[in-house]
Amino acid sequence: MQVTNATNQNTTSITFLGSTRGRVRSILRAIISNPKIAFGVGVVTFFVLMAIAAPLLTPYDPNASIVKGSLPPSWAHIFGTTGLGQDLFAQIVYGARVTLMVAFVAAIGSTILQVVMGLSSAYYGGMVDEVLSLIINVFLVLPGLPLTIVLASLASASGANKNEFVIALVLLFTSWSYGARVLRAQTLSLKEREFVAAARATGESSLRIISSEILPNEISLIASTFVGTFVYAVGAEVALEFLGLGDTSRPSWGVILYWAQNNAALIVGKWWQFVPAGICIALLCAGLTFINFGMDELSNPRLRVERPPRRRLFSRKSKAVASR
Amino acid sequence: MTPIVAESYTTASIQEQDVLLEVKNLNVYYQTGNVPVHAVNDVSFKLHRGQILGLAGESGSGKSTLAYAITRLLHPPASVSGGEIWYYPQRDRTIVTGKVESQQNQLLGMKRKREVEGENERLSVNVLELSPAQLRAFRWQELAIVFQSAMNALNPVLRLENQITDVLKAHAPSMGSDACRDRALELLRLVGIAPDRLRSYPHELSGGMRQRAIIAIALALNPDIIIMDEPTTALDVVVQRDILVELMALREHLSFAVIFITHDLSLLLEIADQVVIMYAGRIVETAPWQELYRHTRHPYTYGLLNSFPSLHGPKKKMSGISGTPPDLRHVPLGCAFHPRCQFAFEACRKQVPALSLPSAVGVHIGEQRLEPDSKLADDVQSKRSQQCQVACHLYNVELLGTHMENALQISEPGPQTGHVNGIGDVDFKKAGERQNNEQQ
Amino acid sequence: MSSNNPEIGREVPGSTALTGESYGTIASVPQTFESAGEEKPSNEPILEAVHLKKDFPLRAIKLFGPPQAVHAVEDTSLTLYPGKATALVGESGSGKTTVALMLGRLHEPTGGEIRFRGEPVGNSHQSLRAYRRHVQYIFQDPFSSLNPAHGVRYHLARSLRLYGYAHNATEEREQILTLLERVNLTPADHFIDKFPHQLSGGQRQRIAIARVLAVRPSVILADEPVSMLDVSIRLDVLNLLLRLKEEDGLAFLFITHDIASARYFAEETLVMYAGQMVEGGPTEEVIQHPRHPYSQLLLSAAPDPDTMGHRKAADVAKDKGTGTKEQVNMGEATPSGRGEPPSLINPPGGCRFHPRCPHAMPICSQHRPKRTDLGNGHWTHCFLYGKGEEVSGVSSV
Repeated sequence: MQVTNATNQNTTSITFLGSTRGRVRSILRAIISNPKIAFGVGVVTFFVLMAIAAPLLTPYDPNASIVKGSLPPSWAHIFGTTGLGQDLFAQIVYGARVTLMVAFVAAIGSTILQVVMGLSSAYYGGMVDEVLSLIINVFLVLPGLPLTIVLASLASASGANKNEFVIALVLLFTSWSYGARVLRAQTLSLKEREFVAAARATGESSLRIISSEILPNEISLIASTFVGTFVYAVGAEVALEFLGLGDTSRPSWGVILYWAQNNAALIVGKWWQFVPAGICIALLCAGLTFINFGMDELSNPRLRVERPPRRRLFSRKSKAVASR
Repeated sequence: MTPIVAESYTTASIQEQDVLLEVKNLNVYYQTGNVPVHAVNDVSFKLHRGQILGLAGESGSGKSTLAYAITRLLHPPASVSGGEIWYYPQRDRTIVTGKVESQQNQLLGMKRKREVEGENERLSVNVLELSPAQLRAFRWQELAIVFQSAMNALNPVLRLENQITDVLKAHAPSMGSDACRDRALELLRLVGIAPDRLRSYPHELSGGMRQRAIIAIALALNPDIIIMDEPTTALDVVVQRDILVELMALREHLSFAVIFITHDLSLLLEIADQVVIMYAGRIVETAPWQELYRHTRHPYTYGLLNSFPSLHGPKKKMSGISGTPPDLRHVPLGCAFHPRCQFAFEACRKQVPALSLPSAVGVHIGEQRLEPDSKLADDVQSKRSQQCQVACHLYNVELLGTHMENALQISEPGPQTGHVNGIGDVDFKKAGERQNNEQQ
Repeated sequence: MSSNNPEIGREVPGSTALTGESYGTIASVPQTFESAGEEKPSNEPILEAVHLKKDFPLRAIKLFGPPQAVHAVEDTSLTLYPGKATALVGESGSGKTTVALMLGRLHEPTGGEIRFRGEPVGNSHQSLRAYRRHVQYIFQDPFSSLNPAHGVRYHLARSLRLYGYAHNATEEREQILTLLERVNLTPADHFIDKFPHQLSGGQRQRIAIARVLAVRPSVILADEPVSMLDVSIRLDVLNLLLRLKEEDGLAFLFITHDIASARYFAEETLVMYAGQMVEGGPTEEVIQHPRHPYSQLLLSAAPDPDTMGHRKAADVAKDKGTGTKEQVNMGEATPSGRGEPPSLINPPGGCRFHPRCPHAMPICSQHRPKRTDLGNGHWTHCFLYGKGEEVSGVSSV
């Protein structure tokens, strides 16, 4: 029996539907109207643009030793210089590329793996589910950070592999299982929904059902897991590099911190060697987390804070209300 | 068909003194998104002692919202934006053993003596302004609610016994656990559940038994009013009938009033004394059940009654009501029903009809042709009190009069028009049948 | 009727019956929108269920107990004819939905057989596909049977594309518009871009019907298609289905718990209780003269709009001792079978209604009565009317 809702509205999650133009418009509207998402997207976009525009922002080469020793911030060097005399601002700006790139690759790869494993194990059930679940559970149980450290150090031990993409791969393999489990649970429940049975009754193949019926309904979950994995990747990547397991010759935010640690910057009082990088990392992670909160609010109407309806400049609806 | 024995409620005996609950101009809004939804729009009615008031409507009619407003269970984004709800408690009622005096005193402490014209003062309670403590005293002792789905209302991890005694202990703390248990057993006996099910969990009970359990919990403190929100919709027809028969028997025994909310008008006509029909948040018609059935006035009610295919009568093609119930965000201007109404005319598109006594023209949709008031039976005349009201321009002579020109021009029966020979000559039933025949 | 399409003109063995071997028939794509079945009401059965049985195994609750199962359907047989509607009436737990799901091949029967046009259906992927081409299912809940992520266009286009009725976007759009008009969703191009959450319950159910029609089936299994819709629009949707039945000669299986709508819609009515068929026959026969005690109980409990007012008057009269004899007689109680349907994990033996039956005899708990023919195509499974005979399972309406 349908439960009557006064607005007769089916309060399902927001899905990014419709024609491409409509989709883009609705995404933009969602971003602007929700302050959390606005902040988060703003921060991330800022960093991305900063990374892309790195050569335009600083004339210095981040690896070049320009001055002697570590100088505090000045007009010539906005964030000061490292112990080797490299410009920190240049390092941060170019380092953003590395950090973002690695985290992005890790997050994308992890998400793809999650989707494939989670959805197929849930939909096919039976033996497939047993085997895939076993794999998921094994990876889940392995302790994340120690494993990451071990793998990274193994990889970096053989010298030639000191490549940031190794870190990306390591992060990928240690972070996918949690999301896969979540997606599996969600798919198990979606599988029982009537529209899946209706698609079967129409004659759709299993693959088509997974990709076109179930997957679109999980986009918000996948997006949210992606952002979460991104945050994790940023943090874990910085941690690995801080421990010296990354390529310490190429500056990234974690490597900056590594060298700051090496130079005992905290003890000596040379705060400019780690504070700017630390703030950038924190800001980036905060921004991503806010995006996640905001997406939560979008998909679950009950979490939305009731704001008084904003009067829009060109609203047709306001006329209808007034005339009642 | 197994009859449901209903107390024959002669309307002649209704007095103002007997009013138990009075709702006046209640308005409830849902603040969602840009457009506020007016879920309950200027609703007024009276519930008398021992009466069964049936509230019928489809989705979006606002009936459930109304029930929640009366029990003050509305949460944001829903809020009561206007109106009053007055409750007139009985002075001497059978108090359940052990009920603490102080709770009743708390409730009575809220009373404000109201002067009612020509009558003695009586105790009255403004439900919308009860403080949380007073609300606790009010709920369950004076007013109880039975929800639609028993499985959702019962706590799945508590035994039935605990759920009943929970209620008792919350509202009558001086009752000892033995007294509570005895009362629980008595309640189960009242509703027809075997006493050995006292220690069962909800999932061990069948659907019908769960609903009976909910009713038992509602009866725990002998409330004066029980609101039932679609109590039997989720149940099978046979179980439904059983439960309703028992409910009627209980009402005879304990004389509480019931507000029975459902979408099934045919069921309501069997059990209710007074029927209220809601559409798009407003009351469109209210009348005693005989009046509603035999002298149906509002075209929506007429359409609803004709939406039930007959079981034993002649088989014929029926058409329900065309169109769909409106989305409350975009309610049509004027009379909300006019897009779907066979008899709509100019005024219907512009003005919202007020709920009022049908005017002297005495039009009705039914077997009888329209007759002026004087020719209607005396008992119908006497029922022309607050009992019968309808919100439709067809019963507003002045309005119909000024639009008579337009109305008379409508001589061709069609989907949107009725066949009008002249004022006082509208036979809607025949028009409806003609339309049905044409559609075949 | 172009033959440019490589799919058209594929060889089909002999009759249009389904065999296990080859893919179904796409002999030609009709230009006009007609059901490929195009059957006139005939006496040849199009879909038969023969002694269907379904058990849902339960995980062992006790470690060493025997394996338990929910015996949802026991020995059910029914036949559907083109252009005719058969109603399957019962309450919750009667197994009617399970029967429909088996016929729709969404559940595999534990026992028994399904025959399409006289031939048993195979299990291969192709035969399943071909079967679905002819037998389609309408779900009960319009709010969950449409995918909220996809619009109307997608839902209808899938059916068209899967079975090769549309090969490009233009044909697709044309056919979608025709379909929408057929189910009275006009203006059609207003609806084509809508999403389910923008539609009302009645509109969604019409989309579900359109999706089913797009496949051009010969049989439609409708599982309580209107019970979740508002009362005032139920008749509209039922009338739509009736019109489709007449225009396309479709066979309908109409599952419902509401007998009045079964009477309105179907020519034949079958009554189920707790997984067993108890009575069946022409609708008027079964409804006006129910024989099985359960059918009688069901009919006595069903609200009847015609006698509403009179019934109450009779009650009042009975109370007061006044009123005509006729009125008082109407108020006489029919035998009540107090109680509820049994658990299907350990159902009662023999006739599953016997614990509630006022006429139960010792034999009722031991054996399940076989079918007794009551004449006129009306039959029942009840020892009150005789032991009955084993029948091949095909009803003789």
